[in-house]
Amino acid sequence: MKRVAVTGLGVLCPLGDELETAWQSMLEGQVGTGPLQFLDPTPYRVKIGGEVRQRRRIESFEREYPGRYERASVFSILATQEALSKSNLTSADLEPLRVGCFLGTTMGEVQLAERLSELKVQNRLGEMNPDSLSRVQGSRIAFSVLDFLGLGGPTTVFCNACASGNYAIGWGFDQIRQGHLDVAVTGGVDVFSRVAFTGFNRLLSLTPDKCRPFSGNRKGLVVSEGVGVLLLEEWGRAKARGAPIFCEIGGYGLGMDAYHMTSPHPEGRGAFESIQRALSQARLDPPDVDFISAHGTGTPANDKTESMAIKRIFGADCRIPVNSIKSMIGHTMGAASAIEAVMTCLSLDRGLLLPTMNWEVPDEGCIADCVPNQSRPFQGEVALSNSFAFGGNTSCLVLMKEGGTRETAARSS
Amino acid sequence: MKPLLVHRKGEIFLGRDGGSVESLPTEFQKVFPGVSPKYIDPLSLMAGIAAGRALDGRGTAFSEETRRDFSVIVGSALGAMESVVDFDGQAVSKGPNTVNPMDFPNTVANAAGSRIGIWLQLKGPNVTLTNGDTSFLDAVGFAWEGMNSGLFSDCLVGAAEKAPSFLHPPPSPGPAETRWKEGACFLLASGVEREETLFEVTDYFSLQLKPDGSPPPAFVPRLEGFWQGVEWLGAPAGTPLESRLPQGLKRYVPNPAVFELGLGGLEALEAFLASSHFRGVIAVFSGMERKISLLKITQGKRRS
Repeated sequence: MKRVAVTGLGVLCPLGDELETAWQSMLEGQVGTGPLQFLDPTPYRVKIGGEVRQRRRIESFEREYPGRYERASVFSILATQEALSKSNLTSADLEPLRVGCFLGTTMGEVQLAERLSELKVQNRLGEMNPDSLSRVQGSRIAFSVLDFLGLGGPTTVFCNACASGNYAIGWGFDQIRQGHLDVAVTGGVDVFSRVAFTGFNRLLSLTPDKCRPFSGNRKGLVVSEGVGVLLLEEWGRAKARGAPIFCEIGGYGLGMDAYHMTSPHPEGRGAFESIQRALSQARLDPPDVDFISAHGTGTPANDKTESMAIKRIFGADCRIPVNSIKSMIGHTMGAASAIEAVMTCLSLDRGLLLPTMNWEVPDEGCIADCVPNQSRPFQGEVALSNSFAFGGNTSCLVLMKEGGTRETAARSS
Repeated sequence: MKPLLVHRKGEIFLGRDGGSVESLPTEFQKVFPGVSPKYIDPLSLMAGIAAGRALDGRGTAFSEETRRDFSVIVGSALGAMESVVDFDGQAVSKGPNTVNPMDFPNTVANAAGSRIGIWLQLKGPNVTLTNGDTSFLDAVGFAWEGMNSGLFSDCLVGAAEKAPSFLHPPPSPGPAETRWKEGACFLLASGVEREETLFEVTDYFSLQLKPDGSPPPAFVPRLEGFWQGVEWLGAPAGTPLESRLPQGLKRYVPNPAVFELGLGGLEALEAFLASSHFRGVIAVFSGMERKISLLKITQGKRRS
């Protein structure tokens, strides 16, 4: 089996339209969610959300390619461009046969679907752009990325709701690990969706003010948008060209609650399975883990069951730091796991843990150390990145510090 | 890599075999007598019916250990888009507070696959992919690769598609060659020889074509090598493969009859199973993504 390096990272989220701005803002504990501009929130119970408000890169792209791509595709292309740039690669350096694109999304080009629903309601479907059918499909996003880069490898768009990004990253990892590809553009994307905002409002899953993961007074999540892209590269190739290596992917695990469409299993069964499978694939033991990037939505049920799964694996007195950046950027749906994986890579690379903001009150049922309210130095080598979803689809990535000493399946083979 | 052994197939198609959206709850309850179809979208109902038919009652006999490594893999071009548009339409026309929260889960594309996992208590990786017209073939290809990479031991893999009512002009009725096929098909598959096999998946390959429909030069050797030793090639109806594939393949492409969004390759698979050929390739071209996916299959083994 091949080893897999992360050599490029790209992000757009409510705290920035590029990686360094987003990282720095999170390090300072800024919160990027607030009153909504995308839609009029007056009729909604909860009126806050997260939006990518820094529009410099988006506007520049849209000026250059007016109307060519829908918003989720634009997000994905911009994040891929940034990841390639961080990796010191251009598309010309990539051998088309050996590059794939695997992205995750909850609803694809949902803003176009919402425009279609408006036309349908107004009996104006005749005004629909004939191209809409192809543009609205989730598959269009990965196609747009490779098309923009002029590459022709395999593409797959994973729709596993809020865990989609991890599924895509895991699949890209597998493709390189098994020698099918040398490079994979992986990640997740979702743009702000009226459907998600309405649905979570109606499910009473939203917090009216701020997201407080793992805090005893947590009230829910904040619907948000963004994209995270990780450029995965075969280790030997990356080393040979002197690429920057942010971290190594040690393995991943997928699980399934098989319990309920919208509620997590009360004992975190799927979460437990996915963490266990990820550790098993990497051939690591629980004591090897130094940090966990949580799914941490800030809903009473998620944080409790995720904590239960973590304690079941790492012990009831687990002191591993576990953070949730959703406290700062909200829940970016299909992008969440990818953005969290991006930030976990940087945490390992830079030796800094991002905080869980808005933590106020201890909860006995939750994990003990959620890196409350302040970033801190960190010397660990192995991190997990959890992500769970509607339908009970669960996932966990193992990320390893470059140059670390822990022996893993990939490092020993 | 080991072949993916496909043991059984279950399907339901609206229109083709007399089914209709209205009949779905009744059909569903024949497969899942204890589950209420209320609040469940047609896509999930179709997927459930097809998955249940593929299992043909075997589901209840699975051990807990088997269920733990039993995956559900679903491909769909449009996924839950119909539910998304309906849900949003209600919010837009009557206000967000009139929307039934029970309808919200229908708007995620993984609703169908997740529900199959819940109904059948299958706890292996539950994966939904949306790859345009190649979704069915790519789901099977994913199953073949996933089984070989150790993601799971057994799986239900298939596709489900609901023609969108928001299209203009409406998708049906219309001439056969432009009619949308709505339905679901699931295959019961594993890497273990448990019972007789319908067919075996031995290779899979997919790529994006250039704007002129030709493969990028780097892919040509892989593409040409893919059908060495293959005696049959099928493509689903409505595909422009005839005009896009290398010259030597055109004679194998059957005449198009029906447009199979997201279920592409199924008719070709059925034709192959009915044929006397031993080894074949199914090729599906998705015009929207200029993507071609190829699945290499061999006829299954009958147990004496």
